[in-house]
Amino acid sequence: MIRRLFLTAYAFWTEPISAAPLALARILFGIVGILTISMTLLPRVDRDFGPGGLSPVECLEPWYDRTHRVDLLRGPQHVPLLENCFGEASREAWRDWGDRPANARLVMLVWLAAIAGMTLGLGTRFCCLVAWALSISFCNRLSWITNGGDSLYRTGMFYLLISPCGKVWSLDAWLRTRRRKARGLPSPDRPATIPPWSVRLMQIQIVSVYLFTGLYKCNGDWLTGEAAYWILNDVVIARWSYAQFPVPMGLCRLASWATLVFEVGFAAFVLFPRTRRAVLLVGLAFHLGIWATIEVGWFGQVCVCWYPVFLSGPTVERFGRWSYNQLRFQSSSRD
Amino acid sequence: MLRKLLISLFVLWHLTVLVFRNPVDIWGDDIGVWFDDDEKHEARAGLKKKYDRIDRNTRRYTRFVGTEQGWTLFGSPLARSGPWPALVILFEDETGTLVKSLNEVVPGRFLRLGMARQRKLEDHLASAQAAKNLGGEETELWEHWVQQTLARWKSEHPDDPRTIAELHFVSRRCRYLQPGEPLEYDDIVQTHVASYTPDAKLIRE
Repeated sequence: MIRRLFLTAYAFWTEPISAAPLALARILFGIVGILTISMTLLPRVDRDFGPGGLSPVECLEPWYDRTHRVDLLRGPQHVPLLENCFGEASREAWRDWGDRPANARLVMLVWLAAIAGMTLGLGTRFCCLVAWALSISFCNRLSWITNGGDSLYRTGMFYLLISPCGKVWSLDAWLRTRRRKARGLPSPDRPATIPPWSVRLMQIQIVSVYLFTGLYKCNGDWLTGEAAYWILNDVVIARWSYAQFPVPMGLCRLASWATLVFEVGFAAFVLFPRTRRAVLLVGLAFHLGIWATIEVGWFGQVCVCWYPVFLSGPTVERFGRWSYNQLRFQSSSRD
Repeated sequence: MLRKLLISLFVLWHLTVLVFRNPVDIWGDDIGVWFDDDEKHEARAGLKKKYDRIDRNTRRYTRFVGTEQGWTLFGSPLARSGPWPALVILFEDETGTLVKSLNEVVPGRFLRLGMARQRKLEDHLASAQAAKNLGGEETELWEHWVQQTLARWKSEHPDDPRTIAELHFVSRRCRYLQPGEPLEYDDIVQTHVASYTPDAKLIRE
């Protein structure tokens, strides 16, 4: 029994897995990131940066220094190796440069370009590195306007950085194959596989998010079932007025308890292939429901970006082939 | 071989961080109370030292790599009322005007699309907890909000000839409906939080 458990755990961490699910996650992270950043952060740069901005760096500096936070718009502080390379004058100049709205916009465009490069898989590792570093910087700098969605996105960037997410479905992979062909070498084996550890860490991370947010809820309003009622009734975040569309209390209780079961049980449901697909579909509906009823930013959309890492290689590869054929069919019918 | 060893060590470290930080980021205060228990304080001192060291190192790591945990979304008890910030402009002719947040709605009738980021900031500014920090590290944040709200009002009323005497930052709180209560909201309760000069500088009282 112990031997079997050990072998299962060993295979879980070492047996190569298909690279396609991770690539799909990378693409989803990219698309969601580009849409959200360009629609919600980029248009308000002038409001947030500069001398009268709503993210004043002078208010953040004591917090940065107390908690050792990195903000590349502010300077090299708290970046190992880099922080001692600059004198006081250079740091001041860096800080002033990063606080100008035009420069902050430029850095945000670099962030978007890096995410676009990551999505297309062009210079994937480098683009992931830039996207990760700037995600941290903007999350810290705009901490008054960022929320759980931004934190989960920044977390996702770290995992994509340490994973071989550009192995397939990327321009890097296409260029690699072309170079091999040009040198007369055979094409790499299909389907491409990767070491599983980075994907396993991603799976454990998202399971932790659901599990701990679920455990944290296991009291008060959530147990009585009134939680969904109070959320729908929260006129500061609700999408519509509860007075216009009152939801029966029975339905609110059901939604509250279902949320608890989903969040606390996600780890168990996703562990078994029989319930995995169902729980992911429930998750999709759950986040769609949250998006439809309350305005809390992009947490739901980012959560869904993590879902492909739970899908099997063949499922995602089938989806990839189908999408590719659709694109080819559409372009040939246009010709 | 070395590569495999390094990866194994990293995975082990990262897993330790996830296992440690997730409960500690949520129930850290309770854990602190357990360590500080009067009767067992001495016996737990050694363990507390180790705990503090792991806490410090894992916290620094998660902050640096951007994988902070502490996923506490919509914890209980949920809000029974909610605030919006607003600005009261007092003029020298002793008249005044109220400039509401763009996020403020008529509680009984609205459809909200977008503005989640501004709402997050304004939630913070209008909360009673944050008001305690007024005059401290966040002074400029509040001043800038007042400045921008005043600028919005000025752009909407370019021809208003009145001279501004003082600005008041107020919190406007709406009480939510209790289950079973008639579907009619009470009037919004307005509380004065701070006063500002016409150029949006905090008047320390």
